[in-house]
Amino acid sequence: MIFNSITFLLFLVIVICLYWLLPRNIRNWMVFLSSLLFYGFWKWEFLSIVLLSTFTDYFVALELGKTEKSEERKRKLLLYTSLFINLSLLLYFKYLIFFTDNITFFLQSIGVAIESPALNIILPLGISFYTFQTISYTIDVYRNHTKPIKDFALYGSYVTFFPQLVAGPILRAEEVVNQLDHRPKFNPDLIVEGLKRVLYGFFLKVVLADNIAPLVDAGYALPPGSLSAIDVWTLAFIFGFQIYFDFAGYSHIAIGCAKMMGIDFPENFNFPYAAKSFKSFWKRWHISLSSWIRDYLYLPLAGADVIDPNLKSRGGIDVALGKNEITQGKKNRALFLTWVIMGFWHGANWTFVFWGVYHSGMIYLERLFKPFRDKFSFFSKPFIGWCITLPLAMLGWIAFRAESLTDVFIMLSKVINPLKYTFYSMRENTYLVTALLFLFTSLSYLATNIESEKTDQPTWWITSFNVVKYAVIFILVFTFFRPISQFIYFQF
Amino acid sequence: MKSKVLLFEISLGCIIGFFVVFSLTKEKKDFADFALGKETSSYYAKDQEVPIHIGKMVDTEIEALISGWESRGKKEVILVLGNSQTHGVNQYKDGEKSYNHLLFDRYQGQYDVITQSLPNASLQELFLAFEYWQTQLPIKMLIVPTFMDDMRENGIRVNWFSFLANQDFQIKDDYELSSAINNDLGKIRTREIPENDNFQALDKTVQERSERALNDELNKRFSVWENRPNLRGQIFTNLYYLRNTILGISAQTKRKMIPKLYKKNFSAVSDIISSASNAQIELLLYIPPIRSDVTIPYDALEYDSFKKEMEHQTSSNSLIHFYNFEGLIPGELWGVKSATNLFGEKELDFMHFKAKGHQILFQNLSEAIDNHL
Repeated sequence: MIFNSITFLLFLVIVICLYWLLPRNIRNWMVFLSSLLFYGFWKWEFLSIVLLSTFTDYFVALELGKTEKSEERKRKLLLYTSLFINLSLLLYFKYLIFFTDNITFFLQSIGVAIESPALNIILPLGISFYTFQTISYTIDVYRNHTKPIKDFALYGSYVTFFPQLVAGPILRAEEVVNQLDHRPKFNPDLIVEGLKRVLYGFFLKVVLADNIAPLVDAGYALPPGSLSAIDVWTLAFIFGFQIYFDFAGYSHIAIGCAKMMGIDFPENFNFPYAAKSFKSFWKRWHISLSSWIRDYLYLPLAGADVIDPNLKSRGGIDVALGKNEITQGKKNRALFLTWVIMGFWHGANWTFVFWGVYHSGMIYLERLFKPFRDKFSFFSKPFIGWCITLPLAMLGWIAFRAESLTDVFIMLSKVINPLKYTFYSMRENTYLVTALLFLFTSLSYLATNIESEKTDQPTWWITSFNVVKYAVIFILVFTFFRPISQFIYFQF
Repeated sequence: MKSKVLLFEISLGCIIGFFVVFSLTKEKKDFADFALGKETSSYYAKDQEVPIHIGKMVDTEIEALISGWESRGKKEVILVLGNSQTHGVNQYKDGEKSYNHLLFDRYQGQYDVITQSLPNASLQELFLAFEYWQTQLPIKMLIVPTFMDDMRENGIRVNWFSFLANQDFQIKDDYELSSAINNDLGKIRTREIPENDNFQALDKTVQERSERALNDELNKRFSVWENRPNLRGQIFTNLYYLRNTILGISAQTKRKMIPKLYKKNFSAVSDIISSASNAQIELLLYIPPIRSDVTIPYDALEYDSFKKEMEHQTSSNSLIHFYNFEGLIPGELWGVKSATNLFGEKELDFMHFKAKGHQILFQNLSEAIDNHL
């Protein structure tokens, strides 16, 4: 089910009412079954894959719970079973076409006469999200960071909980299971607070992201060779805004829906384009994924034995704790590998791998130049950091959106060619809209900062301003509300 | 306290918002002709209720047009392609006709005059349309106006050409733009470019059925819901006016040439010429009329060079005939249109003229046709 639809609104109202009315046992089953219904509304055939992943980790975790710490071989076998099943699903549905195409291409290029098999595999919605979630649960049980959940309805609700099922935030068991198990006393504040987040989310998605999309599509449809450097920068920024509004919109709606059921989700975004470094960018963008990658990939790859539980969900990747001494070389290798996998997680295309490598390169450069920055205070100023980080982060989105690696290189080569700054190739509105979005995002960041500093006592002018704000949001959301495009992150 | 205030703010905001929406959607407006302005009407010619002039490619319209041509004796066709100048008549009165309709009347008995015109058509789209009509009709002559304005447009628009895309129509590989246009059609076909369908994201899912049913129900019960497309049109119109007001843009503001798009559209002109030559079709290319009693909205140097290049392009082949009709229509026959900014007065229309202007263009075109057919 897609959020920006009447079907979902109707579904949400019914589920929330039932949630607050039903007793615990029935409630968890209701959440689990309604989440399956939510997923089945897209393609019911793929429910079997969600269920396979769910059952696998439920039973593996239960077995792990029963196994003594000393039985390391058995524990490892159980863990590998879970990893094998989940990663096989991911490999088959998401990466098989990519690998067969690339192997065929390689064999053809060395003279082997072979045709690429015609594979028709549909990517199940949200597979990257729920497999990561179930994997992390099993790993946490294996590491004794969390206890296995015995109540299947509760476990099923956690894995398939509809607000986050198809595009996150990726939740850890300890973040949500207890909340699902112990419903708080009904409080209308929860509904109001949740409604506010849902409204914001719809505004970002149906008003901003969906209306930017035609400009982005038109721009990226132009032959990359015909673009100027100004066009490339514009396309980088405008897609950067589109994907931010789209994904942050989704996260707001997810958080708002959970809030209306008395469940607090961790935040997934925190004004990423205000970041003053790449390290800080990844503490602000898709926080649940960067935390996941850090805890389950980067730290193990870097050789850190144990992670500090307090670090969880803060986002960011540039943290390395552990009993072992971690050399810089090991850290760098882990950084590079993590980001290649991170890129690949987003999509089975070399463009995503390039995007991952690009980010690892930027973080590596930041590490490299840290002593230099520390020496010259000018370069440590937040504003200078922001001026460097924002355009580079936006430029990275080119690889995310372009159709092929060749297109990416053609587009990026324009940026470093001074002769390509002398003309433009798109209609003027694209540049104008991009500039306005930049202004809007900057103002909303400043306004939020001012708002957070104000006192708790509402003043008449703040209230009046908010009434007008909600009236405008209502008008725009009401007008543009329609399932015209999916959320971008659904394809991952 | 804080959440009570929030509840108050959201509730009051939504109530005010609803009343605004309600008042704005009471009056139904047609935004299809928005670009033409209030003073200009769309005129798609018909012969005894059968279309001889279409805009968007729709299967039913195309079938009706072709069966009309068959019933009139399957004569050779003079194909007229164009943009909104062809189907726009300023201050239209009943009984008046556009130039292509007058051409149809003039050549009845000898040739069939069939027209397709698309607002803001790029030359790439006109090339695609020409390629399609060649597969459907025996074309004797093609008439194409080359507007400087349209050299700023790009690509194949999904709204107008999804029919061709879904028919798996492809342009032969012989032309410079074949792969670019076929690529655009491919994207429309595989829906990489969203079609103008409110349920696009639900394509082939179980939810599509529930969503359409719920939406139909809401449309039936609440006119406010049904009129949302109208409201979207109003919002975009006002944004367009706001942009023009802030940036001081009016109909007379100079429109700069966009080099890459200009080059691409020029390639489309070359392709039209090659295609017509290959098929031994007479081609009449002309610089269309533009309001010339005031400063034109183009850079004078760019416009001059455009005309020269166009003339040069057409000088290589005896089947290709070039005409310059830019100063053909006197100032008083051109339209005015409503202000395109928030506080302005009526503005001059450089694209659309009155029926008398169509009459003049018809006379000149028919003379040109007579010279070559």
